[in-house]
Amino acid sequence: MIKSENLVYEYKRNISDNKEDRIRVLDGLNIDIEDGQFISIVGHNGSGKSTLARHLNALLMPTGGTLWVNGMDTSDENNTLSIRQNTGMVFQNPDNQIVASVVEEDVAFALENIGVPTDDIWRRVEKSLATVGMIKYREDAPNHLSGGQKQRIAIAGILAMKPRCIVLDESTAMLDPGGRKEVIDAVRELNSKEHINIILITHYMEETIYSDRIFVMNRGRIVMDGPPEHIFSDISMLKKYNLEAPQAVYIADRLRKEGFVINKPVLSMDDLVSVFADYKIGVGNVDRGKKS
Amino acid sequence: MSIEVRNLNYIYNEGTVFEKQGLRNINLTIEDGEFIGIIGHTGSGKSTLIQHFNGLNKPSSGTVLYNGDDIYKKGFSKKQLRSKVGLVFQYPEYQLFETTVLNDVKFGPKNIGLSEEDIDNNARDALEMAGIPKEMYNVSPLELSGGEKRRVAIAGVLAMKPKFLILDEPTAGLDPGGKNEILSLIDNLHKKDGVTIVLVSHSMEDVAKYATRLVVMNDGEIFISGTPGEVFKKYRELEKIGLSAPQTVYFLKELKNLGYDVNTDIITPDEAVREIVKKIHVKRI
Repeated sequence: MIKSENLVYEYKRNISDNKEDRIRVLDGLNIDIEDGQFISIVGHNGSGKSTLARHLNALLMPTGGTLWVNGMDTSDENNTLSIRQNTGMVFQNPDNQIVASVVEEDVAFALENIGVPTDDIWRRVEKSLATVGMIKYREDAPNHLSGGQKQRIAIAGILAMKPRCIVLDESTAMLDPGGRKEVIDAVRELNSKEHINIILITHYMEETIYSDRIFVMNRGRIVMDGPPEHIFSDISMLKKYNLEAPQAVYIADRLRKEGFVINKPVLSMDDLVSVFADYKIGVGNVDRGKKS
Repeated sequence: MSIEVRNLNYIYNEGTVFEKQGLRNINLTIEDGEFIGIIGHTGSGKSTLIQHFNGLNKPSSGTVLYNGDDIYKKGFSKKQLRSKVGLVFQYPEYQLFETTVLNDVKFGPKNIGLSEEDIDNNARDALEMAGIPKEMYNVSPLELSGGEKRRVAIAGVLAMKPKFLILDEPTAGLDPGGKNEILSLIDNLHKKDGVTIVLVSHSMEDVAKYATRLVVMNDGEIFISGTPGEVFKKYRELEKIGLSAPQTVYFLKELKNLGYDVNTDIITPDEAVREIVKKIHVKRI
């Protein structure tokens, strides 16, 4: 469980030799994330998404307010180690987070650091690699893998720690469409089968439609919080925050404006297809063959 | 004007145990006025290929011609070439280094030896094209937002008034608003200023919207090339090599499967809406 009360993060910036000002990156966030939820965080560049993410595993500590991860106050340094074992981060650039020259050794890296017995390490590494579908590459060199595969190795390294939460900070931004799908499929499965909390930070709106809740951040605040069908119901609002709707939502919105009757919520192209399938069987006031 | 790539091969670490073929037998002509999208999985050779277009990489065999001249032959001015063929790298904002936005943009034209006046005019033109407001000209580039930084970095290339502009994933990591700003800047350069564009992208939706021709790379080779409509018809083959078609393509194919008479060559959402309004007659309110 992740909970915050009036979470603030500020840093000082020198504007001249003897003058400085304060930049407030997080401006009083109140969040409450239950165990097992899939949360997406979207927002303009500089809105504070990554700063928030870095608080979730105590890479940064609040300068005001309080953040609790599994009941532990992140600003208490006695909690730092167990918070980091609980909450793993996957970053944007797949090449910057691989440390070993063999896949399975990379996945084992953190376990070695925290002193897990060797037998247990191999068992956990094997299980983690199997979970993300990378077991057959266990003895390969990571530099021969694709971007999506490297990110799945990074996820396996976190899984081996038996975390309760995985934070993906734009982990799909540098990937090709195939790689993006691999990563999203992997975290969706971890969420549904292993009930691991997923916090997905992304600029690809299509990736957020499977989440339980979406947080929209703007200038250090959470300005919208709700399920995808709620968030994407107001396209003009999203535009104001420098965002957009997934393409299926956009098409549905345009068609509604043309008078098409679309009563059910549309998030994906599959949803949109089912609207037209319904027309065929007479749902949605079909008047086939005639122009209206 | 054209850039012509002929029988080009590029081998990394040639002659060592790490030898690896990066590009294999590439033949490609970029004609004046085109908007080419280059797509391919990570590691397929896209970036290596475009770094040949202005002579940054030297092929192991084969060559590149600029307006018919071999760019690797002795006496060919690479400096001149690089002012005509502008290259915007991935995350170009990491290369901003000057104290002010304006000075940073002046760096390129200064290096090609223009007069003070031309340097200043070019830089201001470029910043205006990139949509950077005048109040920002004298602030440090580090003060700007992600999208602004990236537009300043692109302005630094535009200030050399290139005829060809090659961009390597220029929208990666930007929010949708920032992404659309960059894409409409590129589209304007193509339509209004007649700049030939080569856009490397992982977004099938973006290349579908803007490109006149697509080049698909796979494992260092050109896999297919053609108009976006022709290329995205082969979505099954694209999926096998780590790519996909824009979502609109799958949507229209499904409508067709349901028995609706819609044109499945359509690749953008706006066209799809027009097609549905025209062809699917259900009762509307």
